[in-house]
Amino acid sequence: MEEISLRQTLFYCFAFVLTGSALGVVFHRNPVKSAMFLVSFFVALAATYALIGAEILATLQVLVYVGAIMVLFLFVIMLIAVREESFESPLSNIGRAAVTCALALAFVLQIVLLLQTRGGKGDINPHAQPAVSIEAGKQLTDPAQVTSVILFRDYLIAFELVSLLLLVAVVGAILIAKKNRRLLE
Amino acid sequence: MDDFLSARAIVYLAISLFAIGAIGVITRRNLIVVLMSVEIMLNSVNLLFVTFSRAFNENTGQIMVLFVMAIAAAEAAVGLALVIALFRNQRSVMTDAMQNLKDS
Repeated sequence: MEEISLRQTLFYCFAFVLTGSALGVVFHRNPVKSAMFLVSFFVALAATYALIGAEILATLQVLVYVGAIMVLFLFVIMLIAVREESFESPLSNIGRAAVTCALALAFVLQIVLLLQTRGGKGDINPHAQPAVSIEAGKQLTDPAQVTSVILFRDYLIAFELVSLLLLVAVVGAILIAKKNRRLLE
Repeated sequence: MDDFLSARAIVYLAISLFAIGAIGVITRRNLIVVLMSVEIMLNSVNLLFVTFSRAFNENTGQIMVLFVMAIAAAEAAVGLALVIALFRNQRSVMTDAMQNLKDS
């Protein structure tokens, strides 16, 4: 039997956390707790990115999603004081037990799959990093350098357009959310 | 050799996360939770982008993830502003409260 590396073990643990938090977001009645599950989802996803070998994206995931988007969600939840949803959960007690059993089964299944996984073509080697060549025939191999060269050289126009889009979205959000006095009269 | 991660396992994970998010969008009635489920779907697609970018050792996929993150932030801002405006008008954020066009 092939050895299971620490990286693979960690990946399957994070996969389980990801699935569980996503189910928590979708099926919890209280929106605040859904938001908390979403935080754990984002952090576990950042850990998965780091495991795959995309450390820059892991950092950005925590900064953007946990730092900005989740704060926005929680701010709106606090602002409009959502009550516990009187939503008849699609799950009865039996259904909840069934979901728990299914999750446990899925975890066992994941372990079985892990034991059968063999390295093959197209698998992810976390140590291989792409290289990019700049002028004067110089090769860059540092992941941050490669990413920034591609972003600011090949995708510069898209980058500027995205910054414009963010500005427009923020101004539009303020316009939509502020009190419209003319409409109230 | 055994330090490799199987790309197929990550693809299965992303597919199941996307399905969970889609279930949330369809079944939940609270608009905020619907927006959170949309975030889950966006993130599962991001995971696919990163996976294939690393599997083919090509960084363009990670640039796409950066753009998707920016678009997701814009979407969250505008969507939540719409939720606030809806709450001002209807005193509710449930999707079944939006019945203005219904002949009552």
